[in-house]
Amino acid sequence: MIKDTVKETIEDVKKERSAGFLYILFGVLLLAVIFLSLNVGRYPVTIIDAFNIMLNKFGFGVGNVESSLEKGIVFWHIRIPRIVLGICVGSALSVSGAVMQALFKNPLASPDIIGVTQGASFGAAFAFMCLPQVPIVIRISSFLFGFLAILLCFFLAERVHDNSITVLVLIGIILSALFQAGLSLIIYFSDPYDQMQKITYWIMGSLQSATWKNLIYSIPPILVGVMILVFLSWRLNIMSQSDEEAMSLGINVLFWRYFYLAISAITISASASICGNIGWVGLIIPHIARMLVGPEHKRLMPLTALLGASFLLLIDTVIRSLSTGEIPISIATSLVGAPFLGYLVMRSKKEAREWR
Amino acid sequence: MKKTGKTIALILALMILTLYTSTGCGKTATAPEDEPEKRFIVDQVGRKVELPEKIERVATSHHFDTKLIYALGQGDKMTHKRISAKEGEAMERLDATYAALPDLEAPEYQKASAEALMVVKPQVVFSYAAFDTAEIEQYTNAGLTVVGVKGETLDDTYEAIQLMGDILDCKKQADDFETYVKEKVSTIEGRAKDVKDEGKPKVLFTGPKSIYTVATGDMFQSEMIEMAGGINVSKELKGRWCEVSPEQIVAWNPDYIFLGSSFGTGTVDDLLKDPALSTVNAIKNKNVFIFPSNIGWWDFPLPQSILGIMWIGKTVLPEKYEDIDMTEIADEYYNRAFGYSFTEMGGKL
Repeated sequence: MIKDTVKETIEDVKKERSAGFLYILFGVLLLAVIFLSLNVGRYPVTIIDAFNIMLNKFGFGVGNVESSLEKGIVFWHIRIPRIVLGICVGSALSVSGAVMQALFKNPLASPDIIGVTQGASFGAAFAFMCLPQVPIVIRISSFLFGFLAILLCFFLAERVHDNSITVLVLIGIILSALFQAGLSLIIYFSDPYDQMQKITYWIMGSLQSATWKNLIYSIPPILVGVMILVFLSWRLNIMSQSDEEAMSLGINVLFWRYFYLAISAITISASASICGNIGWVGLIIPHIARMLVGPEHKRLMPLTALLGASFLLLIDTVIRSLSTGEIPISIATSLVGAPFLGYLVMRSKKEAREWR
Repeated sequence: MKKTGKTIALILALMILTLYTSTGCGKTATAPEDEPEKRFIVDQVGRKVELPEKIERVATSHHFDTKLIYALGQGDKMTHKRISAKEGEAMERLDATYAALPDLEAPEYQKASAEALMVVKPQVVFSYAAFDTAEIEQYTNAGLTVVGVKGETLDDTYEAIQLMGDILDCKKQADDFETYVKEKVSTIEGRAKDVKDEGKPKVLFTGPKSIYTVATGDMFQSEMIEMAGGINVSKELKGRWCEVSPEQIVAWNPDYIFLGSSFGTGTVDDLLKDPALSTVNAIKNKNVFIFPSNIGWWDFPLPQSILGIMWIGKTVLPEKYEDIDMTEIADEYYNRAFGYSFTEMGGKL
């Protein structure tokens, strides 16, 4: 018995160490992707140019000042905001995905399971159709409807007097279906040359709208949400057990469930409100991270955040630099993500697929 | 429970009433019962269609064909409203005959269902078939006589005009209108021929989705820019409206940016203030415009687009198009095409 415990502790320390190594490895990977992303794009400007521009600003630089102004603007106002957004949204989607998978005790759970994404899409479409066409109004409406979805979810769950997770899943399905139908209805009545195009474009998702002005509003809630989820991830281990087990440990299951749900809902709605729906990231990144460090959430969540950020940033860098036309990011994430996950599932051992 | 029953009964009664009144309407209208003489035509997608000799009742599925019917002076044969955007609202205001027509039981921009069309009892339905012919099949299966038309190029449009002239027995009007359009096209052609390629203004035509959605070389918008004497910066792209990255737009550095097919305002100001695009010539020189017009699109469909070509010319090469008065020519065209001038219909440039 004691032997077993000792063995387990040793295992745990080993895992902790290997997790530390993995953090460093994937931290370096993220830095590498950022470096790559800073250097490529449709407009020829590199990090060396950026240094030159800075030197020029302080009065001791070389080269053409006129052309360096244009380069500076591309670098500072287009490329950097987009990189920042990619990192934030990538980690937000994957971290929320991991939380959903733990809370719903279901490896297929992803941010859209409680209807938040559908709510946000509906909110955006509603704004395109009925509200003044100001970007900030559309973002706020999308954020509010995403959040409304989670409020409805809580409210309905409360009314059912059944605290099981099945009820939440059912309510999520109902809300998703309703918002989806509302969205389709709006699309049906919208003018196909104008509103419909805007709506479908928005739903497809893109990081093109990354400007400092937009980021000021969207990044704080995303960043704070991700931080909370990563730093308060220790409770998730218990939350992913059955309710009886968790309760027998003296934990207020309901409080923690709604706490995690609310924080992830804010994070997801905030990121959906700026870049639309980006599919698959929230589903596959937690799985990949779990195959690397196992299901212990304290180790899992930071890695999930790192991996998600690198993944989305890399995909976005490729689609924005490869060809003159940009492939919508959701198509790219699914095309790359789905087969990669398939490959991992085939390669991994059974225990590594355990998600609890 | 009792209340629900009552509501259901009420809804049912209303439904029956609507059904009754709508069929009643159909019956009072003249629907020639026996037409012994038949004729055949070949439509623009190559189908052989059997038609009654004389056609009094026409239905359409798209604003391209609807507008042509009015341009050929055959508006009195229309069985329903189908002019889109604010042009349609203007027609309702100005034209009592148009205002009296029934609405199709379909949202303005959706395909009309076969049933909705059967209610108005047309002898022939024009269906816009440039992209897919599924609609034709759907209507034919419902027993309607369908003629497929298309107008993605000028030649297609001339063909459509002649086909309609044949079918609606208005050869002369068709010839007149075709001549009129050709004449307008000839006033554009050759104006920019002495402008060297490197001197041609670079134009970015952006789509309805966002400024990062641009008109490709495959699209008529690209042809319009070239005809007017400009260069479409995104002509190397293929397909329809294509996404590009903001960096790409800075790299292209267009002299003019047109926001296409959008009635939204405020976007121009947003663009002018966007620091990311501040080095682009079009932004620096405030050459960002919402593509006209405020009552209906000038980039689509043809032949209305000739106004759009002239407008591009006047905007990007003003000295070459000095003699053209845009309002005057728009008034003239709208008078030909709708029977009311552009200004009367609420158009502003």
